[in-house]
Amino acid sequence: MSPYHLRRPIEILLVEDNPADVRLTIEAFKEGKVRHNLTVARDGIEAIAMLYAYGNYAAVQRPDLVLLDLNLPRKDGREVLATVKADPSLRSIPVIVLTTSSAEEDIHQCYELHANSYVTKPVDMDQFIALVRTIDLFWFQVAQLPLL
Amino acid sequence: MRQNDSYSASIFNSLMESAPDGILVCDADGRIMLASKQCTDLLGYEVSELVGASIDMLVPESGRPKHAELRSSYMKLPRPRPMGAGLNLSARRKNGSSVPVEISLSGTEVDGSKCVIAIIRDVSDRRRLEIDLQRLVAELKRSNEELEQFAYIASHDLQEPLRVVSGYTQLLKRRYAGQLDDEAQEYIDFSVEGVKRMQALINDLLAYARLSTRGREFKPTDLGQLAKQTILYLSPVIEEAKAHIELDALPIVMGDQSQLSQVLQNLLSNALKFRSPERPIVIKISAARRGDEWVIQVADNGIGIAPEYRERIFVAFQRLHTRDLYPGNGIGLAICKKVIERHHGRIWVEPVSTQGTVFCFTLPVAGSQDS
Repeated sequence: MSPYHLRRPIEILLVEDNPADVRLTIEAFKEGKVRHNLTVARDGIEAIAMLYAYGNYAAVQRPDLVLLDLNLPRKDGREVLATVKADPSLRSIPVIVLTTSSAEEDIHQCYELHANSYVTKPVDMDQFIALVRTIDLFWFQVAQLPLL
Repeated sequence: MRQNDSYSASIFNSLMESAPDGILVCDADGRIMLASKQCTDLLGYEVSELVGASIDMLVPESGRPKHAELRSSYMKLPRPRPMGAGLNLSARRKNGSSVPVEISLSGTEVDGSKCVIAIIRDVSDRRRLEIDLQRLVAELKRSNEELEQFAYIASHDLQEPLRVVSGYTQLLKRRYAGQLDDEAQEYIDFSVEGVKRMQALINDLLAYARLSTRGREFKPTDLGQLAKQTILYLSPVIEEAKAHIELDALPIVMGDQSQLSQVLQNLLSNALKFRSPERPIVIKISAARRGDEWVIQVADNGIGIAPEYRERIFVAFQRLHTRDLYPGNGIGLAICKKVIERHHGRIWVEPVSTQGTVFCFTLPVAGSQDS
């Protein structure tokens, strides 16, 4: 693996419908000083289209990591998760469920659907920044990911 | 002897006519030989119409072929028994309508020929009550499901805007710290604090609401073991407070282990939290049997609770102290109360003359009640 500062920025697909949350996540990545490119899908259908680089989304890069909210318009996060993990061409992409819900049934269900991890969005901005750094540290510096 | 016969006959007649249930006597072929007056009210036939007719006439049409079959098999061994136990039987009335009934059968022999006595009870009221009860249970189930739904909304949708508010206020602070004066920084801190407290309140409310909907089945639960685990769990606080804890023998009860452990934990944490700065803290956990129930006591030598507040402390979000002095949302004792009541017990503060607080709660002695 190449030294961190030489690596290309990580490609992140953020699936999140709330603009305030989108912006907050962008700011957290900025504050966390994580080199990244972030693409936003505003609902589940858009997320799937981006993952498959369909039609208008042909230019969208295959993400290194998906940050997935659960409650989304049209196709919700659980359905997106199920689709990704059912497709051999997509399922190696780490999907981190990032949601407000701390409900036991949601946590259980997401792991049943093979989420790579489940994280409740922190209320505290410092914690949010720490979370973003942790994600970068673990998934891109500690963990070894398969080459495409 | 004759006098005896007429005595028997008169007793028999008044028994027949005064019994609240309808009584029919049939011969071995199912022909009605005797019918009490109550049968008229119940079935709409006159006694004269019933006598001589076939009992099958009173069976709903759909059940007639089967009934004839069952009747002849019963005649082979006519023992007293309820008919169609567990089935919802009905009788066909003269006007074709049906009435829910319960029937007891017994066989006897008169002058060498077998006959069957059928006692017929109108159970429409009970059947109606059963239907009402079923409806009520269904309604309760639905309202519980609604509560679950509400709890989910509370855990997700209500918290989302809160997080946005706190996130952006904190971002404001990070980005503009140099440009804001001390007062502005303080306003931001207060806003963030408010959001965090709101979130804690929502979580507490959620935990409280879920006590009844998420309760687990009652199992034999060793309170002594639970208390030991709780003490272990709280050991950092206990050591920090230099508290001395005396744990007497506690019973095994029927209960929801995780909820009962929450009760012990809340009571113990309160005892540790509301300690007096003037004396070393001593907490005593004990149990005594009183009739069909156990009384569990958690006694401390802390700051105590004034008599006028002894009821109020069990209400959700009631607090007796400022947050600066003793942090918390005031949900702990409300949770204890709800759990104990779910276990058919009571919880209260024992009036004591000495310093400190004595919490008592009761739990039924295992096996003392069928619930």
